[in-house]
Parts: sequence; structure tokens; C-alpha cells
Amino acid sequence: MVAKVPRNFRLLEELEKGEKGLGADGCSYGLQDGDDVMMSNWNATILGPPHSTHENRIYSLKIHCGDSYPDEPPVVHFISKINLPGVDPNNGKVDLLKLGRVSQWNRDNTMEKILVALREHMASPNNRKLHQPPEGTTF
Amino acid sequence: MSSSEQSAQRPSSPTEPSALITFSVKSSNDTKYTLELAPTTSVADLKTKLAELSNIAADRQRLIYSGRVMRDEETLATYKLQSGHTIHMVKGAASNTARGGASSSGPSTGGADARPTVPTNIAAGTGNNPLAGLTGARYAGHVQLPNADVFGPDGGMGPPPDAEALAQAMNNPQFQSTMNDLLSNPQIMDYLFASNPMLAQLGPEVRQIMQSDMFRQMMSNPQLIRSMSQMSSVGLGRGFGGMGGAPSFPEPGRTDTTPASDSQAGSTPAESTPNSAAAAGSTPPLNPFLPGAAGGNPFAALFGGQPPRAGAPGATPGQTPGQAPGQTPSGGFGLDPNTLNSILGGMGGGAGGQPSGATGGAGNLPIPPDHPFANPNNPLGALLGANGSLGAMGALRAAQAQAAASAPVDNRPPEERYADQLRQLNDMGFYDFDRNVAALRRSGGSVQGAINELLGG
Repeated sequence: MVAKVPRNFRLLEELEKGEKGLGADGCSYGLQDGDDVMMSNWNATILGPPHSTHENRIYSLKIHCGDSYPDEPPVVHFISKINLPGVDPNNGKVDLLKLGRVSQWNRDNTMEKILVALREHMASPNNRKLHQPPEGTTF
Repeated sequence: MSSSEQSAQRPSSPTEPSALITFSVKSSNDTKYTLELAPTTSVADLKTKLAELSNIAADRQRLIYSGRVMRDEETLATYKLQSGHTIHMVKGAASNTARGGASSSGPSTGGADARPTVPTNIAAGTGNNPLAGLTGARYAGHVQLPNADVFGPDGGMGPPPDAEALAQAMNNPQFQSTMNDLLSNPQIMDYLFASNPMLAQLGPEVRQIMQSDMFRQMMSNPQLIRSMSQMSSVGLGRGFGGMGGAPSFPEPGRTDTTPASDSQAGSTPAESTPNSAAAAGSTPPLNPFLPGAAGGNPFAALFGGQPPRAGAPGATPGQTPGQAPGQTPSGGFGLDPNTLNSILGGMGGGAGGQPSGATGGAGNLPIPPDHPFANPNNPLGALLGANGSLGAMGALRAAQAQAAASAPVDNRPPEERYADQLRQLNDMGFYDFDRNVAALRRSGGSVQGAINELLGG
């Protein structure tokens, strides 16, 4: 049994990765408020995957990591309007169950993995040609 | 936005000497710029600086830091940018709407794309390499990259990983599944075949073999790989690197030392006789294993079943021993264990076009009687032959590189699988996504082929 990484260590790890730009291409994330000691609220961006209607768009998201993260998945909302299955058209909330790779949540998953999964979801053949609301609109 | 506007907008000029922060800006084409600026610098100023460095106009730059798009009128301090951190720069394309619909193509986008970014990999000649897209940074977060040790200290260019490291890699389930995917992916096979003239000559059977379950199982069997690597180190100490890297190269100096076999194999390329191969195998005088190999003449049995095209023009003489087993996949069945051993030997050295290695392996195989290869009725022997000419370790290498990309090989959508190639095509002025993909599919991922397709069709 490996010792569980406490929530805050884990979030610090993710924060550093995000700030130093070590993460996956096309995704970026960081604390909404650098002074937030609980590191609960995060900003993220997803770069629209190429050869899709999302190409060259930058999607903003907000992520809330609750107290039981990473045992429980964070809550992810799109700020930029997007037309994508699994994203609530009213408030932009992402239904993680619709995201293959992270639908089975376990504590090895990270915010980055969610973002990457979202980006793949956007690029999937079913979704890449969906008509999108004008760029710059927000939920 | 012109730079004069920006300087007018600048909230506070960086004259007040506060501590500078050193940070990097990573551009979408993987270029990294390191900058040292005061925290009071405005984002607009940063963009102007980056425009000088990167040739991307300031108004087309999108800077992203910590999940936020940086706005021109803010300063670096607003975003709490700190030393050692990284800002992502993306080229916002004015051509967004023009290229948004995949089918809306045409010169209208030309203006916006007047300054295409050259794909960073274009110089590396990865255009027709379907693996190229897999090594992209965008997969960095998807999978655990294999330990750098696997590739050796020089990144895989030199001597091979030792048997232990390989076996370790092989024990990794991810590696195994990658291997599986690799061998079942027709595109990869195309690539392997295209990149190896020897293989290309062997005809469709080899392809079948390599796609067979048996071969795949073999390639993912740690013990087997271990014994293969032992063999190859026995055979003149030439590593996998040599085998994989220069499969169609005759051994250096080989022509000097083997005039006899050269004249034989070279002058009668069409008839591949047991003699020429045996000669090729036995000529290198420094081969310590020579007696064993020549004495048992294990090759004779093999070549009996060999189709005449074995020595087809173009094959260098040195390749013959390794090649031969591969060409007789059916001939491998029912051969006696000795012969199988020699096939295995061919696998050890033949891939490198190294006849001495081939024969060397033959006399020296540490294969236990219950080993699957020693079973005369086991088709694996034949498979191994094919393997030898493939440059088994070359394939393995490819797989290792692939391990980085892992499973998404098969099911990725074309726009991802061909991302690099599509970008190149786009930069060359082929904007029709569907046609590009179709052409790339037909050409097996080769940009060159796709262009021919697009221009010809």
C-alpha cells in the first residue's frame, strides 16, 4: 500500500506543472487566485484542436477542486461557450462521465488529464465539425 | 495593433528598476524563448518583444499563462508571473473562419496564411513518417514516457539497451499492447516496408507473418527478446542499433574481404543458390564460429525450399543469409532443430547484413530443448527468419519510440494521426481537409505521395 498523496501536495504538484508549462500541449491551467491556500479554484484553457471547428480558438474553463480531491473528481465548467456533447448547454458544466479516458475517476487522474480528454473529445470525428457559437461568447 | 499604440498604452514603462523575472515563452511550434523582463512590463510590450523573436505579429499572438489568456493591457505582475514559469504562445489565425469549415477551401485563405509557419519537423524529414506525429509534445501528458534508460545514454542512436533493460520494457504491459498495436496497424507496416528495401522485396507473405498473432506474441515475449539480444551480442558484438539502423547496408569493408562471394552473389543475382549464400556466410575470415556453421551446413536445408527470387537484384550479398529464412516462411516448418537454430542465427546477424553474425549465432544458441524455437514443428522458426530480415530490433526500437505514444495508434481520427502531414499540406496550399486526408490515407501517410495524389487526381 503506497501512502496516499495528500490533497494539497497533489495540487501543488499540479500547480507547478501548470506554471512551468510542463504539461500537455494545447492545455494550460493555473490557480485562479495565487493566494488561495486551499488551491480550490483553477483556471484552465484548452487550445482548440486543429482541423476541427475549434481550431485556433482558445477555450477558457474553470475547475473547482473540492476538499476530497483527488479522491473525488473536480467540477469543471466551460467559461467560453461551446457546443459539445457532455457539456451542459446552459451553464457549461462538463459531465466527466462522458469523457472516456477520465469517466472512471481514480486519484491518479489530474486536471490535466481532464483537459486533455476534453481536447480529444473536441477533436473526435463526431464532434469536430459541430457548429460552434461565435468566438468570445461565454456561459 | 501597432507598436506606437502599445507604447502609448503602456501603463508604466519599465524604467523603475524592480527585480526582473526570467521566464520562458513556449511557442506552438515548440520553440522556446527565454525572456527577462520587469513584472511591470505590459503584456502588449511582451508581445512586441516576442514579435521580434518569433516573426509572429503581436496582434496574432495569444499568450496563455496558468490557464488564462493574457490581455494586452495587463502587466506581467497581474498574472503573478514568476521566474522559471512558462507562458504558452499560440498563433491566433485570422484565417479562423475561412478554414473553419473543412470543405471551404481555396485561395481566400491565402492572404491570411501568407506567412505559414514551417513545421518544425520538416527539416528532419519526418514528412512520410507516420510515427512522427506520435512523438509530438501533445502526447506528453497522455502516457508515461518510457524511462530514458531504455534508449540508452545517447537517446537510442548508439549501442542497444542491454538485455535486462529490454526484458524489463517487454514486461511492461503497455509496451506489449503497443507492440501489438504496432504490428496490427497497416500504416506502420507500410512504413516498415517502405523504409526497408529488404522487406519490400520479401513480398506479401512476410507482411502476413508479421501481422500474425504468433509473430506478435513473439515480439512481446520478454524471454525471447532477451535471448535474441544475447545472440546478437554473441555475433561479433554488433548491437541492435546497427541492425535496426542500417538494415540494407552491406557490412563495412565486406566487399574487400569477400571477393569470392561477391562475384558469386553479385554476378548471379537472379539465381540464389545454396552456394552463394553459404559462401557469403562463411567468408569473413575472422569469424570464430565458421567451422560450426559451415560444417553443419544448416543453410543448405533451408535454401532447398527457397524461391528463386531470393537473390533478386538489389539485395546486397551480405543480406542473403538473413534474408533467406524470411523468404521461406513455409520452408521453416518441419525443419530439424539444427536448421532452426541457424535460422535463429540469421536473425541474430542477418538483419545487419552481417553474414558472420548470422553464422556465428548458429553455432552458439543457448536455446534449451523445450524452447519454442527448438521445436521443429513450430512455425516460429519461420517467423524468426522474417524477423531477421526485418531487423528485429529495428522494429523493437520503433515500438519503443512508439511506447511513448502507446495505444491511440489505431483509433485516432485522421486529423490527429496526420496532424503533421496535414499541416504541411496546408502550408503548401492544399486546404481541402477531406481530400488531404483521403490522399494521405492512400499514400500511407507520405506527404510526397499525397501531393502526387492531389495533383494527379
